[in-house]
Amino acid sequence: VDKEVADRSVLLKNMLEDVGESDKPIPLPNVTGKVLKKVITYCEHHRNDPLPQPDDDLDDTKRRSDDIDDWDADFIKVDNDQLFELILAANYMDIKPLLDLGCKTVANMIKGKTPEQIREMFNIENDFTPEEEEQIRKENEYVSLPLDDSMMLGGIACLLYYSLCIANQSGCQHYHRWASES
Amino acid sequence: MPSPETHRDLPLHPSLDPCSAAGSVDIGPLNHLQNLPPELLHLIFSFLGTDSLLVARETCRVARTIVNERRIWSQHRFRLERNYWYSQILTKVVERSITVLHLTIFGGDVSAFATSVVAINLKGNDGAIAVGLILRILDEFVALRGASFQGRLGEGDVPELLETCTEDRVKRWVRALSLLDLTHAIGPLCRNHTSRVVWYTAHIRSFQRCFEKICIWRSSPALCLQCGSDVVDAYVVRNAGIRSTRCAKLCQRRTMTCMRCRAYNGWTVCSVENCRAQCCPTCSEPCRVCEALASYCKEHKRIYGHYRTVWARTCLV
Repeated sequence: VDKEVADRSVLLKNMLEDVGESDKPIPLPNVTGKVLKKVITYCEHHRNDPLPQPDDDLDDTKRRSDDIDDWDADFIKVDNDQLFELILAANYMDIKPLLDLGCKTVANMIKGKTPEQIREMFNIENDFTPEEEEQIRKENEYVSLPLDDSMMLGGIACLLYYSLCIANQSGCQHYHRWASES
Repeated sequence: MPSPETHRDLPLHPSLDPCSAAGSVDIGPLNHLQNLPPELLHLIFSFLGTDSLLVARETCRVARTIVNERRIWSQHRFRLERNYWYSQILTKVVERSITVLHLTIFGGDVSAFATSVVAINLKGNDGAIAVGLILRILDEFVALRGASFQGRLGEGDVPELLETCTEDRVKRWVRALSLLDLTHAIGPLCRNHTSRVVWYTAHIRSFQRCFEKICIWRSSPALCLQCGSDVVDAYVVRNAGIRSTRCAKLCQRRTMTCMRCRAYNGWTVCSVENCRAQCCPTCSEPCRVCEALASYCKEHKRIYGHYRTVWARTCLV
């Protein structure tokens, strides 16, 4: 791997600067080979990207998760195990763009899901105590979204209207008899 | 999960080859979101919108703990990630989010809650956005640096905001209105209703129309606008010629908080004896430091700011 590619990792960059010109291997005990290969692929693709600045987090637009480019989106299409391993590796090797990519991907997977769907997707164990479950239920009860009567009546009226339309179009005998009598 | 030995088969640069690493660490099962370190969960949740965050906290205890931490909500940018087709549901969702934030995350800490959100973005929703909801948001979050309510702007339903509108509050709303991005809005606050030259003026005028409906100031004493109970006392601002009313339940003072609740609204405890502003509307208890500070509450200071010494001798409260 080129030094330019290795420098994408702040951890490796600092280590290489400390070690200097040497053939001694740098240990990465927390990263498996498979994941390291993916990390290197990412770093090679982004070798010419500008390095992230420390104050980037202050930028509002950096908190968006829908700005993943096509190559990154294809790159990160991995199973959950590998995704979490990539996130951990990026965190350990201090590769901020890869870490953000992984976290954005997980965030995108959470969006629009119900708690049950999120649990199922990430094998999350529901470890709430009965008291906590009760508290959550009360919170949801307190802030539930009741349908207004007007909305319900409007829905029923729409259903009736469309039922009549369908009956009329299909030439329903009962409907025509009822319509002529009335 | 791949074992730590699998990387031995891969051709790697010597400097990156972990084969020589003595004692690889077993990093354990990773297919659980719960097993990620807290700082990574913080980072993941920082990319979530407000509604998704509130859903995530219902999945497990770890997520609930992380989301309940105020660090997540510091400098928060309020946004909804789901599209809500009906304005009533949109309103309910926003209200739900604000309520949960206020009561659960911040536990009634008005100051921290009010300054937690620095921007709000309700773009892209098909449901109309009620003016009352916008005004409530502007009123709740005093630290807004930007607010975007692009979409259909609903009209009416302002009377939900039946609270005292002090002068400072009006100024704050007007200032907040200048932050609004109403480019695609239709309705009373739409910039297309008037020429661009008088756009800002139109904002203020439209706002004042809403404001008049919810203002507690009246020409004569009457029932409280908030709870409908009888007004217990009235006092006249002599120089302004305005008669103001106050309610026994003090509901019009909801935006004020005692020192213990970390007053955020510029309110200081009042040294006027028996001043009802000494009751904190958040905790409904008398403020313990009232007597220690010789200052006036915000309302008294505003009304009698120029006549403080006179007022101290001729208090009508």
